[in-house]
Order: sequence, then structure tokens, then C-alpha cells
Amino acid sequence: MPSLGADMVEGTLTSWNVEVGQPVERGDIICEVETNKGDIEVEIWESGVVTELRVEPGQKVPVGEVIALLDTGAEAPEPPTPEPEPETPSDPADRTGERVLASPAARRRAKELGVDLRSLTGTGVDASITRADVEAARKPRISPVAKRIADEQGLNLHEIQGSGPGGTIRRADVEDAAPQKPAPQKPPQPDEEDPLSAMRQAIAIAMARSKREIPHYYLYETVPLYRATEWLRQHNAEQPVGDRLLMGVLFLKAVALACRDVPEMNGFFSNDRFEPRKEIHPGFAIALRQGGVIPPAVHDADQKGLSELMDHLRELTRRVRRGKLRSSEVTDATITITSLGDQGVEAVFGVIYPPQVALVGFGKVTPRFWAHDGLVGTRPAVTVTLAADHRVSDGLTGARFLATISDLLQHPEDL
Amino acid sequence: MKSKETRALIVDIIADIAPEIDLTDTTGDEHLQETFGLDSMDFLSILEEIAAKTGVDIPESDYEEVVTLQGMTQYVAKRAP
Repeated sequence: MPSLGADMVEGTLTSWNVEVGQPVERGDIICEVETNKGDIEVEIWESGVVTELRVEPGQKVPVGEVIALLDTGAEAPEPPTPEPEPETPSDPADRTGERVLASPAARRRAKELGVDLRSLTGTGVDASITRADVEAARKPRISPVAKRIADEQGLNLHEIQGSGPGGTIRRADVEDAAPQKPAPQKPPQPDEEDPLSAMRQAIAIAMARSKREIPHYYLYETVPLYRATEWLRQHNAEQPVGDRLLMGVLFLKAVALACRDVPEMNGFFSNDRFEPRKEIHPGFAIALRQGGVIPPAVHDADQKGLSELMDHLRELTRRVRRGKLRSSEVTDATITITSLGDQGVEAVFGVIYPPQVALVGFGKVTPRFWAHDGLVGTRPAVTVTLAADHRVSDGLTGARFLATISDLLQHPEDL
Repeated sequence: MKSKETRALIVDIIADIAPEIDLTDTTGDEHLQETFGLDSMDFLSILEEIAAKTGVDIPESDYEEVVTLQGMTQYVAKRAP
């Protein structure tokens, strides 16, 4: 189960798009997973042939658990089939996280059973994980219907003997194990069922981690938008509604280009060091009216034209509203942009989305008093803010970044 | 195009683009963006759908006239064949 964001701890597999024996290529959508960000289409990160699907639709599994096996064609020294590493592109910390102390037998068994060693507490010497620990943590194989009934009845899956293939627990096994009296009513768990609450929890996890770990510093600059506003007005006056642009797209492109000049803002902080990224994938925050916000990645925004970015953003907004994003869109963002101008606020000071290191905020475009050629008049302007990670950059670098964004917005025709 | 028909069409378009907005009890006078939280991308998508379905392309200079459901209905009904 891939980590689809720093805030994700588990996901429910809703459907498979592939079958055992099917060849897949990097980037193919292999399954859909229900998360607190809606349904995410999961892309595979390696090409190969699917050899086993370990999780059935409807099952909820923790991040890191093996959901399928893929034969990548690499020469494996011996069976079993090499296990694909769980992909966690959003959080490199998870990929190269600290090494877990475990016996060789425990490692082998954990691999066979698809148990994540990091989730276990060891009972061996120096708290190392033993084979017995792995066995105890093993999740019994169970059909989705049986799982639901067992959950409703509050049954311990470890105590049920499975009669299906490979010891899989079936519906009949659960019904046999269920007490004859009516099951006690399970207390309502709105937190698990209510998607809004799940979204709030996800935001809470990511933002609390951010405020706990990232020493933020904040800068702001008021950027004149006279030229950008005029250019946009003229452009839109000549275009049919489908080809018009929004100011937000100019902001997006300006930030993406500024990341080329100031690479300290674009990348991830993990394992006590900054990993700058060559690819520039700004996450553009899209607010959900029912509560919550999702910043899907706009891939390679620095290389796209304004019209292309506009089309992309329009499509992303639609899919965010319908809860239909792809895994790379929720995990790849290298910096976040939030534009709260539509809500009327003048400036937004954001919280960095870990493991990113910067967030740029745009407020409302409003007329401001402006001195020009010795005369005071009004000009449209926007307050641009930067929240940046002080472990990676200093105020001077941040100032250079904001100044670059400001300069770029003075030449909208070049964006 | 008849006003009632136009209004129903616009309500359908808004429901498709912003399914979480409930327009059943609306008077039609509310500011669509301020009252219902539509952002500029939603607003543009609505205008795009209106253009596709009725042929009425509302220019940016006329946006002020279509900020409410009622205003939008009148604007489109008057121009749609």
C-alpha cells in the first residue's frame, strides 16, 4: 500500500485494474484506493508482470503492506518472487528510514507474509524482532464479507480457524465463531466513517508534523499586477470562454519558473538533509467546499504554457471535487501554492506540507495606492507570502525567491 | 429560450460542477461565488458549459451581470435561440 501523502496511515483497496499474469508498464493505473483524500488511482512505478494480488477489494490495509507481487524480469537469485518496494515518493524519509533490528528468519517470514517490520515491537535481544513477533502480527487472510461480519461482531480474527484455501477465513467460519446471542452493538465510530472527519484528521497529522519539525520563517511582498491584469484582460477579451485564463495560472507559472532560479525552495527535507528536485511539480491547493483542502501536483509546470496549465488546472479541479486523483498527483508535489484570493483575504501565511520546504501564498488582487513617476495613484496588486524551512534556506534566499516571482509577473507575455 | 427552461439548465450545470451546493431553496438573488463558495475556476467552468449547451458565450466584460443565478438566467434566456 503506497503512502499517498505524509498524512496517510492506511487505505482501502476499492478495485483492481489488473489481473494475475497481466503485463504492466510504469505509469499504468493498477488499482484504486480509497483514502482520506478520496479515491486515488494508483500508478505502478516499475514495469513487469503481476504475479499475485494479495489484497481483495474492500480490505483496508496499512501503508507499507504488500498488496501485490510484480515480476520485474530482474534476475532473482531464488524464489520467492522479488518483492516490490512500497513506493512512497512523497515521503522519502519512509523509503530510507532507519533500519529495523530483526532476525534473518523474522525478515524472511515478514517478507513472505507481507508484514511491515517497522510496524512491529520486538521481544528479542535488544528489542529485535523475532519470527514469533512476525507470526503474531500476521494478518489472517479473510474474505471481505467475512471481515465485515467479524468486525460487526467484534471477533478476534486470530482466534478464527479458516477453512478456505491457504487458511483463508470465509463467511461460514466467521458465522460459526460468532456467539449465538445477538452481537453487542458496536459503538458508533464516526471518525472512521465520516469522510470529512478523516480529511480533518489527515490535515491534523500533516500540519502538526510540519509545525513540530519545520522551523518556518515568513516573508511577504506586495507585487504590482497592473501589467498582468491588463494583459489578462486583453487576452481574455479576444478568447472564447473555454480559452480564457485565470490570474491563478500566471501565479502558478511564475512560481514554477522562480523555482529554477532558487532551487532551495523546490524539493524535500528528509534524513536531516535537503534533497533538491530537478523536476518542478507545484502542488496547487484546491479547497473543498465541504471542508478540507487538497494540493495536487501540477507536473513539470515550468515547462508548460499558460493555456496548457489552465487546461490542466481545470481538469485537476474537477477531479479533486469528484475525489478522483492519481497517486502521483497526491505524492509528487515539490512545493505548494495556495491562492485564497477568491475568499477575499489579503494575505495567507501557510504551513509547509512536509517533506516539502516552502509554500507560496497569494491573497486577493485589489487596487492599492501606488507611487509611480512621482505621482500617487491606484494599481492592482497582490500580497505574495512565503513560508520556508529555515533548515534549508535563510531570509535572504527567500527574499530573492519572492523578488523573482514579482519580476516574472511584470512580464506576463513571457510566462 | 424560456426563462424557466434556462434556469433549470443552469441549475443542472452548477449541480454537475459543484455537486455539494444545494440550490433547491435559492431565491436566485444570492451572489453565486460569495454565498455558495464557488471559486473562479468553478465560475469559469459554469460559463463554459453554458456556452457549450446554449451557444451563449458571456464575455468577461459582462461578468458583473451574471453573478447571481437570476442574472445569469436572464442574460442567457435573452440571447439563447
